[in-house]
Amino acid sequence: MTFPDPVQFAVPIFIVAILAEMLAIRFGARGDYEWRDTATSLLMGFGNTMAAVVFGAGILALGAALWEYRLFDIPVTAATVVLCFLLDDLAYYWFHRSAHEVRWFWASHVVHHSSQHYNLSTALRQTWTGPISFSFAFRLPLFLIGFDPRVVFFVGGLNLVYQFFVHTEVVRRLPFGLEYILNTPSHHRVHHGTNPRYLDRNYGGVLIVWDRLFGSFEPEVEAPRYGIVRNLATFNPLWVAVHEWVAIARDVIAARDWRGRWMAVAGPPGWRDGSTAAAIRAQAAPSAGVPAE
Amino acid sequence: MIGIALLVAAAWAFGFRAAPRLDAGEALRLAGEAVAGFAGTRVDLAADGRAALVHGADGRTVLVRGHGNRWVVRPVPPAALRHDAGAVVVDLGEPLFPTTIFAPAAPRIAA
Repeated sequence: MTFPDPVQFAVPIFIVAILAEMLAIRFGARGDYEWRDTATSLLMGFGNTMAAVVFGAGILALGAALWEYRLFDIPVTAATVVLCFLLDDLAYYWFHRSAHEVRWFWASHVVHHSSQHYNLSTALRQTWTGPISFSFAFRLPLFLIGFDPRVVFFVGGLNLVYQFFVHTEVVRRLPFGLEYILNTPSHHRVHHGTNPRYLDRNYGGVLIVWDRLFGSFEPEVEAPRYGIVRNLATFNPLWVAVHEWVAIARDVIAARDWRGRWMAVAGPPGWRDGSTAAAIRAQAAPSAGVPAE
Repeated sequence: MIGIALLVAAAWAFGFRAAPRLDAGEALRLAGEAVAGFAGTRVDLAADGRAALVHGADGRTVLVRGHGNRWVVRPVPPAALRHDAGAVVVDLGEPLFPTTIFAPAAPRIAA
Protein backbone atom coordinates (compact mmCIF):
# COMPACT_ATOMS: atom_id res chain seq x y z
CA MET A 1 0.00 0.00 0.00
CA THR A 2 1.33 3.45 -0.88
CA PHE A 3 0.63 6.62 1.04
CA PRO A 4 0.80 10.01 -0.69
CA ASP A 5 2.16 13.14 0.99
CA PRO A 6 -1.06 15.02 1.80
CA VAL A 7 0.76 18.34 2.02
CA GLN A 8 2.06 18.09 -1.55
CA PHE A 9 -1.47 17.48 -2.80
CA ALA A 10 -2.85 20.32 -0.71
CA VAL A 11 -0.46 23.10 -1.81
CA PRO A 12 -2.56 24.18 -4.85
CA ILE A 13 -5.64 24.14 -2.62
CA PHE A 14 -3.82 26.33 -0.10
CA ILE A 15 -3.07 28.91 -2.79
CA VAL A 16 -6.66 28.98 -4.03
CA ALA A 17 -8.01 29.13 -0.47
CA ILE A 18 -5.79 32.11 0.44
CA LEU A 19 -6.91 33.98 -2.68
CA ALA A 20 -10.53 33.15 -1.88
CA GLU A 21 -10.10 34.37 1.71
CA MET A 22 -8.55 37.65 0.52
CA LEU A 23 -11.47 38.17 -1.84
CA ALA A 24 -14.01 37.31 0.83
CA ILE A 25 -12.43 39.84 3.20
CA ARG A 26 -12.43 42.48 0.46
CA PHE A 27 -16.15 41.85 0.04
CA GLY A 28 -16.83 42.28 3.73
CA ALA A 29 -15.99 39.03 5.47
CA ARG A 30 -14.20 39.28 8.80
CA GLY A 31 -10.40 39.20 8.69
CA ASP A 32 -7.42 41.14 7.46
CA TYR A 33 -4.18 40.81 5.50
CA GLU A 34 -1.06 42.94 5.17
CA TRP A 35 0.96 42.28 2.04
CA ARG A 36 4.41 42.32 3.73
CA ASP A 37 3.14 40.17 6.57
CA THR A 38 1.81 37.73 3.99
CA ALA A 39 5.17 37.74 2.20
CA THR A 40 6.95 36.93 5.44
CA SER A 41 4.52 34.15 6.31
CA LEU A 42 4.86 32.55 2.88
CA LEU A 43 8.66 32.83 2.90
CA MET A 44 8.70 31.16 6.32
CA GLY A 45 6.59 28.38 4.85
CA PHE A 46 8.98 28.05 1.93
CA GLY A 47 11.98 27.88 4.27
CA ASN A 48 10.19 25.28 6.38
CA THR A 49 9.77 23.14 3.29
CA MET A 50 13.47 23.53 2.49
CA ALA A 51 14.37 22.50 6.06
CA ALA A 52 12.18 19.43 5.63
CA VAL A 53 14.07 18.55 2.45
CA VAL A 54 17.40 18.90 4.27
CA PHE A 55 16.45 17.09 7.48
CA GLY A 56 13.54 14.95 6.28
CA ALA A 57 15.60 12.00 5.13
CA GLY A 58 17.32 11.80 8.50
CA ILE A 59 14.04 11.92 10.41
CA LEU A 60 12.59 9.31 8.06
CA ALA A 61 15.60 7.07 8.64
CA LEU A 62 15.36 7.57 12.40
CA GLY A 63 11.69 6.58 12.36
CA ALA A 64 12.42 3.50 10.28
CA ALA A 65 15.32 2.55 12.58
CA LEU A 66 13.15 2.85 15.69
CA TRP A 67 10.41 0.83 14.00
CA GLU A 68 12.88 -2.10 13.88
CA TYR A 69 12.60 -2.17 17.71
CA ARG A 70 8.79 -1.96 17.72
CA LEU A 71 6.70 -3.43 20.51
CA PHE A 72 3.92 -4.72 18.26
CA ASP A 73 3.50 -5.73 14.64
CA ILE A 74 0.62 -3.47 13.70
CA PRO A 75 -0.88 -4.29 10.29
CA VAL A 76 -1.77 -1.47 7.90
CA THR A 77 -5.56 -1.41 7.84
CA ALA A 78 -8.17 1.34 7.83
CA ALA A 79 -8.68 0.83 11.56
CA THR A 80 -4.99 1.09 12.43
CA VAL A 81 -4.60 4.17 10.23
CA VAL A 82 -7.43 5.80 12.18
CA LEU A 83 -5.87 4.70 15.47
CA CYS A 84 -2.51 6.08 14.38
CA PHE A 85 -4.21 9.35 13.40
CA LEU A 86 -5.72 9.67 16.88
CA LEU A 87 -2.48 8.83 18.68
CA ASP A 88 -0.52 11.16 16.41
CA ASP A 89 -2.97 13.93 17.31
CA LEU A 90 -2.41 13.16 21.00
CA ALA A 91 1.36 13.30 20.43
CA TYR A 92 0.83 16.58 18.60
CA TYR A 93 -1.03 17.96 21.63
CA TRP A 94 1.94 17.28 23.91
CA PHE A 95 4.45 18.53 21.35
CA HIS A 96 2.42 21.70 20.98
CA ARG A 97 2.00 22.19 24.71
CA SER A 98 5.75 21.76 25.21
CA ALA A 99 6.35 24.17 22.33
CA HIS A 100 4.60 26.85 24.39
CA GLU A 101 5.80 25.96 27.87
CA VAL A 102 9.47 25.10 27.27
CA ARG A 103 11.56 27.87 25.75
CA TRP A 104 13.81 25.52 23.77
CA PHE A 105 10.81 24.31 21.78
CA TRP A 106 9.19 27.76 21.81
CA ALA A 107 12.25 29.17 20.03
CA SER A 108 11.12 27.27 16.95
CA HIS A 109 7.38 27.51 17.39
CA VAL A 110 7.29 31.25 18.13
CA VAL A 111 7.69 31.79 14.39
CA HIS A 112 4.18 30.52 13.81
CA HIS A 113 2.78 33.02 16.32
CA SER A 114 4.87 35.98 15.25
CA SER A 115 2.27 37.50 12.93
CA GLN A 116 -0.26 39.94 14.34
CA HIS A 117 -2.62 38.71 11.66
CA TYR A 118 -4.73 35.60 11.69
CA ASN A 119 -5.51 34.37 8.24
CA LEU A 120 -4.77 31.37 6.05
CA SER A 121 -1.30 32.68 5.21
CA THR A 122 -0.48 32.62 8.94
CA ALA A 123 -0.93 28.85 8.83
CA LEU A 124 2.06 28.65 6.51
CA ARG A 125 4.29 30.79 8.75
CA GLN A 126 6.36 27.90 10.03
CA THR A 127 9.73 27.45 11.65
CA TRP A 128 13.00 26.84 9.86
CA THR A 129 14.59 25.36 12.97
CA GLY A 130 12.18 22.62 14.05
CA PRO A 131 14.67 19.78 13.51
CA ILE A 132 17.26 21.63 15.63
CA SER A 133 14.86 21.78 18.57
CA PHE A 134 14.14 18.03 18.18
CA SER A 135 10.41 18.70 17.99
CA PHE A 136 10.06 15.46 15.97
CA ALA A 137 10.90 13.52 19.17
CA PHE A 138 7.25 13.65 20.24
CA ARG A 139 6.27 11.48 17.29
CA LEU A 140 8.93 8.82 17.85
CA PRO A 141 6.87 6.68 20.28
CA LEU A 142 4.50 5.89 17.41
CA PHE A 143 7.32 4.07 15.60
CA LEU A 144 8.27 2.22 18.77
CA ILE A 145 4.67 1.15 19.33
CA GLY A 146 4.80 -0.38 15.88
CA PHE A 147 2.91 1.86 13.47
CA ASP A 148 4.29 1.63 9.95
CA PRO A 149 6.48 4.73 9.33
CA ARG A 150 4.59 5.40 6.07
CA VAL A 151 1.36 5.59 8.07
CA VAL A 152 2.90 7.83 10.73
CA PHE A 153 4.09 10.36 8.15
CA PHE A 154 0.79 10.12 6.25
CA VAL A 155 -1.38 10.91 9.28
CA GLY A 156 1.04 13.66 10.30
CA GLY A 157 0.52 15.23 6.88
CA LEU A 158 -3.25 14.98 7.22
CA ASN A 159 -3.03 16.69 10.59
CA LEU A 160 -1.05 19.57 9.07
CA VAL A 161 -3.48 19.97 6.19
CA TYR A 162 -6.45 20.09 8.57
CA GLN A 163 -4.78 22.75 10.68
CA PHE A 164 -4.28 25.03 7.69
CA PHE A 165 -8.03 25.57 7.44
CA VAL A 166 -8.56 26.64 11.06
CA HIS A 167 -6.41 29.75 10.56
CA THR A 168 -9.19 32.07 9.53
CA GLU A 169 -11.48 34.71 10.97
CA VAL A 170 -13.99 34.23 8.18
CA VAL A 171 -15.58 31.20 9.85
CA ARG A 172 -17.15 32.02 13.21
CA ARG A 173 -18.42 28.70 14.62
CA LEU A 174 -18.88 25.20 13.17
CA PRO A 175 -22.33 23.60 13.39
CA PHE A 176 -23.57 20.18 14.59
CA GLY A 177 -21.64 20.10 17.85
CA LEU A 178 -18.30 20.01 16.04
CA GLU A 179 -16.99 22.76 18.30
CA TYR A 180 -17.06 20.26 21.15
CA ILE A 181 -14.92 17.69 19.37
CA LEU A 182 -12.74 19.44 16.82
CA ASN A 183 -10.14 22.15 16.91
CA THR A 184 -12.02 24.83 14.99
CA PRO A 185 -11.24 28.33 13.73
CA SER A 186 -12.81 29.70 16.91
CA HIS A 187 -10.74 27.51 19.24
CA HIS A 188 -7.55 28.20 17.33
CA ARG A 189 -8.13 31.95 17.28
CA VAL A 190 -8.00 31.69 21.06
CA HIS A 191 -4.71 29.82 20.76
CA HIS A 192 -3.21 32.68 18.73
CA GLY A 193 -4.52 35.35 21.10
CA THR A 194 -2.27 37.29 23.45
CA ASN A 195 -5.17 38.29 25.70
CA PRO A 196 -4.08 37.12 29.16
CA ARG A 197 -6.92 34.59 29.40
CA TYR A 198 -5.93 33.10 26.03
CA LEU A 199 -2.20 32.61 26.62
CA ASP A 200 -1.12 28.95 26.44
CA ARG A 201 -4.55 27.56 25.71
CA ASN A 202 -6.10 25.27 23.07
CA TYR A 203 -3.14 23.21 21.91
CA GLY A 204 -5.14 20.60 20.01
CA GLY A 205 -4.29 19.86 16.37
CA VAL A 206 -7.40 18.20 14.97
CA LEU A 207 -9.25 17.29 18.16
CA ILE A 208 -9.99 19.81 20.91
CA VAL A 209 -10.96 16.99 23.27
CA TRP A 210 -7.32 16.76 24.43
CA ASP A 211 -7.55 20.30 25.80
CA ARG A 212 -10.83 19.54 27.51
CA LEU A 213 -9.22 16.40 28.96
CA PHE A 214 -5.95 17.98 30.12
CA GLY A 215 -7.35 21.29 31.37
CA SER A 216 -6.03 23.69 28.73
CA PHE A 217 -9.31 24.54 26.96
CA GLU A 218 -10.53 28.12 26.74
CA PRO A 219 -13.58 29.20 24.72
CA GLU A 220 -13.57 32.32 22.55
CA VAL A 221 -15.38 34.90 24.65
CA GLU A 222 -13.61 38.10 23.64
CA ALA A 223 -11.94 39.26 20.43
CA PRO A 224 -8.38 37.87 20.31
CA ARG A 225 -5.37 40.16 19.92
CA TYR A 226 -3.07 38.12 17.73
CA GLY A 227 0.69 37.81 17.90
CA ILE A 228 3.17 37.33 20.72
CA VAL A 229 3.70 39.13 24.02
CA ARG A 230 6.59 41.14 22.51
CA ASN A 231 5.59 41.53 18.89
CA LEU A 232 8.33 41.85 16.32
CA ALA A 233 8.92 45.19 14.63
CA THR A 234 10.27 43.73 11.40
CA PHE A 235 9.09 41.61 8.49
CA ASN A 236 12.64 40.26 7.98
CA PRO A 237 12.24 36.46 7.61
CA LEU A 238 15.71 35.68 8.92
CA TRP A 239 15.08 37.59 12.14
CA VAL A 240 11.64 36.01 12.46
CA ALA A 241 13.36 32.61 12.20
CA VAL A 242 16.13 33.16 14.74
CA HIS A 243 15.10 35.95 17.11
CA GLU A 244 14.19 33.70 20.03
CA TRP A 245 17.34 31.59 19.61
CA VAL A 246 19.35 34.80 19.78
CA ALA A 247 17.43 35.84 22.90
CA ILE A 248 18.14 32.47 24.52
CA ALA A 249 21.85 32.83 23.80
CA ARG A 250 21.85 36.36 25.21
CA ASP A 251 20.05 35.25 28.38
CA VAL A 252 22.36 32.26 28.88
CA ILE A 253 25.37 34.55 28.64
CA ALA A 254 23.83 37.07 31.01
CA ALA A 255 22.72 34.49 33.59
CA ARG A 256 24.58 34.63 36.91
CA ASP A 257 24.36 30.95 37.80
CA TRP A 258 23.60 27.54 36.35
CA ARG A 259 19.97 27.66 37.40
CA GLY A 260 19.58 30.87 35.45
CA ARG A 261 21.23 29.29 32.41
CA TRP A 262 19.02 26.22 32.64
CA MET A 263 15.84 28.26 33.00
CA ALA A 264 16.86 30.47 30.07
CA VAL A 265 16.81 27.35 27.93
CA ALA A 266 14.29 25.00 29.50
CA GLY A 267 12.09 27.30 31.58
CA PRO A 268 8.86 28.82 30.34
CA PRO A 269 9.11 31.67 27.84
CA GLY A 270 9.34 34.97 29.71
CA TRP A 271 10.87 33.42 32.84
CA ARG A 272 13.77 35.88 32.97
CA ASP A 273 11.72 39.08 32.90
CA GLY A 274 8.68 37.77 34.72
CA SER A 275 6.45 37.77 31.66
CA THR A 276 5.42 34.11 31.63
CA ALA A 277 1.85 33.34 30.63
CA ALA A 278 1.01 32.52 34.24
CA ALA A 279 2.49 35.81 35.49
CA ILE A 280 0.66 37.86 32.86
CA ARG A 281 -2.60 36.13 33.69
CA ALA A 282 -2.07 36.82 37.39
CA GLN A 283 -1.33 40.51 36.78
CA ALA A 284 -4.20 41.08 34.39
CA ALA A 285 -7.18 42.97 35.61
CA PRO A 286 -10.57 41.38 35.04
CA SER A 287 -10.96 41.37 31.30
CA ALA A 288 -12.37 44.40 29.57
CA GLY A 289 -11.92 42.82 26.16
CA VAL A 290 -14.20 43.25 23.20
CA PRO A 291 -16.84 40.50 23.25
CA ALA A 292 -16.48 37.89 20.50
CA GLU A 293 -19.42 37.65 18.15
CA MET B 1 8.12 30.76 -5.35
CA ILE B 2 5.71 31.66 -8.16
CA GLY B 3 2.84 30.93 -5.81
CA ILE B 4 4.38 33.18 -3.15
CA ALA B 5 4.84 36.02 -5.64
CA LEU B 6 1.28 35.60 -6.87
CA LEU B 7 -0.22 35.73 -3.38
CA VAL B 8 1.88 38.69 -2.23
CA ALA B 9 0.96 40.57 -5.41
CA ALA B 10 -2.68 39.71 -4.83
CA ALA B 11 -2.54 41.00 -1.25
CA TRP B 12 -1.02 44.26 -2.51
CA ALA B 13 -3.48 44.55 -5.39
CA PHE B 14 -6.47 43.90 -3.12
CA GLY B 15 -5.38 46.90 -1.07
CA PHE B 16 -4.01 45.18 2.02
CA ARG B 17 -1.34 47.85 2.40
CA ALA B 18 -2.84 50.44 4.73
CA ALA B 19 -0.69 52.38 7.19
CA PRO B 20 -3.18 53.61 9.79
CA ARG B 21 -2.55 56.66 11.99
CA LEU B 22 -2.75 56.65 15.75
CA ASP B 23 -4.87 58.90 17.87
CA ALA B 24 -4.39 59.44 21.57
CA GLY B 25 -7.21 57.15 22.63
CA GLU B 26 -5.91 54.32 20.48
CA ALA B 27 -2.38 54.79 21.82
CA LEU B 28 -3.64 54.64 25.41
CA ARG B 29 -5.63 51.51 24.68
CA LEU B 30 -2.77 49.73 22.93
CA ALA B 31 -0.29 50.57 25.69
CA GLY B 32 -2.68 49.41 28.39
CA GLU B 33 -3.39 46.15 26.61
CA ALA B 34 0.23 45.29 25.94
CA VAL B 35 1.88 46.27 29.22
CA ALA B 36 0.40 44.61 32.28
CA GLY B 37 -0.67 47.07 34.96
CA PHE B 38 0.07 50.14 32.84
CA ALA B 39 -2.36 53.05 32.83
CA GLY B 40 -1.45 55.89 30.50
CA THR B 41 -2.25 59.47 31.40
CA ARG B 42 -0.55 61.48 28.65
CA VAL B 43 0.28 60.88 24.99
CA ASP B 44 2.88 62.42 22.70
CA LEU B 45 1.96 61.62 19.12
CA ALA B 46 4.46 61.59 16.28
CA ALA B 47 3.70 64.11 13.57
CA ASP B 48 2.89 61.40 11.03
CA GLY B 49 0.63 59.54 13.46
CA ARG B 50 2.69 56.37 13.18
CA ALA B 51 4.08 56.36 16.70
CA ALA B 52 3.24 57.57 20.19
CA LEU B 53 4.89 57.87 23.56
CA VAL B 54 2.43 57.09 26.30
CA HIS B 55 3.30 58.33 29.78
CA GLY B 56 1.88 56.52 32.79
CA ALA B 57 0.87 57.79 36.19
CA ASP B 58 3.55 55.57 37.71
CA GLY B 59 6.32 57.31 35.77
CA ARG B 60 6.71 54.60 33.15
CA THR B 61 6.78 55.41 29.45
CA VAL B 62 5.55 53.12 26.68
CA LEU B 63 6.29 53.36 22.96
CA VAL B 64 3.61 52.47 20.43
CA ARG B 65 5.00 52.17 16.90
CA GLY B 66 3.40 51.28 13.58
CA HIS B 67 4.28 47.98 11.96
CA GLY B 68 2.41 47.47 8.72
CA ASN B 69 -1.24 47.88 9.62
CA ARG B 70 -0.64 46.80 13.21
CA TRP B 71 1.26 48.24 16.19
CA VAL B 72 4.24 47.16 18.25
CA VAL B 73 4.38 48.24 21.88
CA ARG B 74 7.40 48.39 24.20
CA PRO B 75 8.05 49.81 27.67
CA VAL B 76 10.78 52.42 27.30
CA PRO B 77 13.57 52.37 29.91
CA PRO B 78 14.83 55.89 30.77
CA ALA B 79 18.20 55.09 29.19
CA ALA B 80 16.52 54.50 25.82
CA LEU B 81 15.13 58.06 25.72
CA ARG B 82 17.25 61.03 24.73
CA HIS B 83 16.68 64.57 23.54
CA ASP B 84 18.38 65.69 20.36
CA ALA B 85 17.89 69.20 18.98
CA GLY B 86 14.46 69.41 20.50
CA ALA B 87 13.38 66.02 19.24
CA VAL B 88 12.76 63.03 21.46
CA VAL B 89 14.67 59.98 20.25
CA VAL B 90 13.73 56.47 21.36
CA ASP B 91 16.43 53.89 20.74
CA LEU B 92 15.60 50.62 22.46
CA GLY B 93 18.80 48.92 21.32
CA GLU B 94 16.73 45.94 20.20
CA PRO B 95 17.87 44.23 16.99
CA LEU B 96 15.84 45.33 13.96
CA PHE B 97 13.70 47.66 16.06
CA PRO B 98 13.98 51.02 14.31
CA THR B 99 14.90 54.17 16.18
CA THR B 100 11.81 56.33 16.64
CA ILE B 101 12.09 60.11 16.50
CA PHE B 102 9.44 62.47 17.80
CA ALA B 103 9.90 65.82 16.16
CA PRO B 104 9.94 69.00 18.27
CA ALA B 105 6.64 70.36 19.47
CA ALA B 106 4.71 67.15 19.09
CA PRO B 107 1.21 67.80 20.37
CA ARG B 108 0.77 66.79 23.98
CA ILE B 109 -2.61 65.33 24.70
CA ALA B 110 -4.02 64.76 28.12
CA ALA B 111 -5.98 61.54 28.51
